[in-house]
Amino acid sequence: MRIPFALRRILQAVPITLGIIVLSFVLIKLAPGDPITMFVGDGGASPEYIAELTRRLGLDRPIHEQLWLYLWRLLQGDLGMSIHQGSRVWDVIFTRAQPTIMLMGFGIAIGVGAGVLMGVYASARPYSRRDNAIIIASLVLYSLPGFWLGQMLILIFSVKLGILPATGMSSFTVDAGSMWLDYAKHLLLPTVTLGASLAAFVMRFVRTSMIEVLGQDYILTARSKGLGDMVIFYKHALRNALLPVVTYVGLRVGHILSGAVVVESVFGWPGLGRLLIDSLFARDYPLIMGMLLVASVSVVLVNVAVDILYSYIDPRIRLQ
Amino acid sequence: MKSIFLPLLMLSALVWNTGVSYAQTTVAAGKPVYGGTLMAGMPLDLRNLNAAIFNATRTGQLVSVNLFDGLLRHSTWGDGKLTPELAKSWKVSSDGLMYTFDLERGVKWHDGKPFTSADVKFGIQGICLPHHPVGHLNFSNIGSIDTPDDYTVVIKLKTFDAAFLGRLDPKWCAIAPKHLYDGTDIPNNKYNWAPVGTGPFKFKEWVRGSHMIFEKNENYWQKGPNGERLPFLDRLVFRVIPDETTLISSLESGSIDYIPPLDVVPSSEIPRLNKTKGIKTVTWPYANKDIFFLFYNMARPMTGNVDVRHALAYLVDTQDIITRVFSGSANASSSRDVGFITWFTGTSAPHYGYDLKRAGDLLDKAGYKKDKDGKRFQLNLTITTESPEFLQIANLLKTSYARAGVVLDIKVYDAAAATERVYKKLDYDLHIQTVAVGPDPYLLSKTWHSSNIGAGWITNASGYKNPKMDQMLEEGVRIIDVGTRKAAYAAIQNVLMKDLPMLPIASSLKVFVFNEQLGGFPIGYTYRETLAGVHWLNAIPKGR
Repeated sequence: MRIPFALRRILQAVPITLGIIVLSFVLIKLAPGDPITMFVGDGGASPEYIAELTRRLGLDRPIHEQLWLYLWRLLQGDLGMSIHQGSRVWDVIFTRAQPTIMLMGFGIAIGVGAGVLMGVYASARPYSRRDNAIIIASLVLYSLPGFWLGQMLILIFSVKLGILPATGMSSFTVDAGSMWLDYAKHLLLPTVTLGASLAAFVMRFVRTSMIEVLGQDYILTARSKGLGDMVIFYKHALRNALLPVVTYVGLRVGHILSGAVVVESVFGWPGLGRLLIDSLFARDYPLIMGMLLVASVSVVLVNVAVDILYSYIDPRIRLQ
Repeated sequence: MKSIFLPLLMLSALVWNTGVSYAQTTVAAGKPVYGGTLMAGMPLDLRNLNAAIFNATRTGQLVSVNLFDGLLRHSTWGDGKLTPELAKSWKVSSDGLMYTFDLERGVKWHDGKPFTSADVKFGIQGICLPHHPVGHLNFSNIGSIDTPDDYTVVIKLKTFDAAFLGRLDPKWCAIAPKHLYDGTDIPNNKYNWAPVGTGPFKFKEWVRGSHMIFEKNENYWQKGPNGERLPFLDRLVFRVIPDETTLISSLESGSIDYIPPLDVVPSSEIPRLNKTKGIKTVTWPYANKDIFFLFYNMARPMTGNVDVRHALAYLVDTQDIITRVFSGSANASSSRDVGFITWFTGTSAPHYGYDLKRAGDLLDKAGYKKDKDGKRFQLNLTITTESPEFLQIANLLKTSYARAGVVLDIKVYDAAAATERVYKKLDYDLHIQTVAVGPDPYLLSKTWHSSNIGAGWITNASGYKNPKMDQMLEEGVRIIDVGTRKAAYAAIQNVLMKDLPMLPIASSLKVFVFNEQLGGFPIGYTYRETLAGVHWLNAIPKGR
């Protein structure tokens, strides 16, 4: 049942994606500015050079012709060439997606992990001091803008304490030690920055959801059977309380990607977020289109995955 | 054309230029040591690394200059002279039309192949002319290039061009290898992203958006001023750090050792960095003269009125801008030594000091009297997000203009949108932008010649049409005698300051910020110098 469901959802996403492509294509072309000027740079260019570049990039054709050509190539799996990077769009995105996936993966893990732990901990004694303290902490975490939190973490852990690197994915120093340890050190501050607001949200979801679940009859039954708190919280209550969290995280993926744009800029993380900003400033049409396409398809796929995940968390849910 | 002949008669002998001169460098206490790594931070990733086909001054050339050499280079000493590089000397014929270059012997490309005159001929005609954005503008005047032997290049021009030698600076034509480019699709040649040059460092690795690694060229042909081997460093790492605050924090935390002079360190940060332990800053006036200009759109009724332009100029308090926006790290454009074109002409240009009363009188005279609310008219001021200083200057102007009853509406766009609006459609009233007016003043043509109206990024966006100015600019580049040429540009600067299509405000100082254990940074005329002379002092620090 599950595979046909997933396939159906993916097929449903095709017209949506096509709509996104057409709309993005037209909007990008309508935006003021063009890639030629940005390609040429600050020294200007001769008319001959501009004419040749315009022809080579196919920008001398009418917009509908450019769109058809783009769709036709897309059907053949060709996302075109990046104007500024001179490489195939797919290669550029693939290379830059890996750091972003790593950042988002660990960011979500930290956000969900910390959020769930804090939520469960707070829900055990609702309205107690520790509950209030955690609620206030989550409010603070949620209110901190990513760029500010990132800078503060750099200031404390890199500039003042000197224990974590300020930027990039690797030290490039000759004595960086273990490559994985070096990666981990570089990953810590960006993922904490990215995961902070997610943790705050997840904590509040889990707390509310847990308080509701803990008040249900089957929990009372479990208690009356003499089960311990840990078993009740983590085995019986949390599993049910997690459903809204999974939905929420699934819906937040797009927002987390936006957060990654900021975090990548602050920490010089060579991922998709920074690439998107650079390609927008450069009006690198093929690259912008490729990234929008990949982003929209990813969000659709994550939502399909979330639907499928439901049935694992709550076997009563059937995918039809 | 008349101006050519007298200097030609005066130029009775062949002009020889020879002898290598070297960059002025930062002086530091300590003994230079060989080896180690330098980590540099850059705000932007690059498009490609072949300086022969791209034009990105701010980042690209600063990086690729370490991989490539030019035939010659603008002097590093602040005097605008040209110094030999791959061409160890040259001579110019008495009519100024024939240039004979004598090339360095024994120079090898990074792949071990010998560098010869065939590379120069192909580099100019086959790569730079058709594929560099300004290649046609710079080299279409070449009639022929002959290579009588492996180490001689003879270039014949169709007409005299006073700026021709300067066009051979690697900014406009780095020499790339014929054997790897001939017969290929040059814009898409794989070596554009993994270059083979003759420079002091060899390409090793480039991870887009992250870093570039170059390694020492053990066979680099050029020696230091005292005959020392170059380069000192074993490895250069350029790390991409887009956020300015993080860039500075990275230097403070030791993640990087050096921030190049790319206008990314805000002027307001320099005093603090100067006091920071372990960090050193060096500032100097940049001789390419990146001057902050206020553009007036002369096609608009108000800014098209010369009295209004003069009045608005009297409302610009340059000293206040230098103090509050640049924390003192800028020169007024009225300065005789480093301002506007005065650095070339040696004579002062007329300038407009802050004078509220005079501005008011001029606006009254132009027919724009204050209404009952004390306002005269509203103008939009279009700026880009490229430099934080643009918005800071715009805000000061807004306050200053309000005193005279002129309301400013500040509009901020990214560079692409601003190019469309300002430089192509001329859809604006006022605009602030930095424009390089050096190293040769012929560059003035791009912003003031009427043929460049609406011609794209940093061209004649004022819509300035003055046939006399067009003629003066065209003649300026054809004058051989330097003294006569200086006088011609002094006349040009007087007309420009009177017509005032653009008001020069100030030029910011360039700043190197680096780990104080480093020495040998090339401080001088341009910032496009190699890092061949940079070295650690006394010992290589841990991790480097």
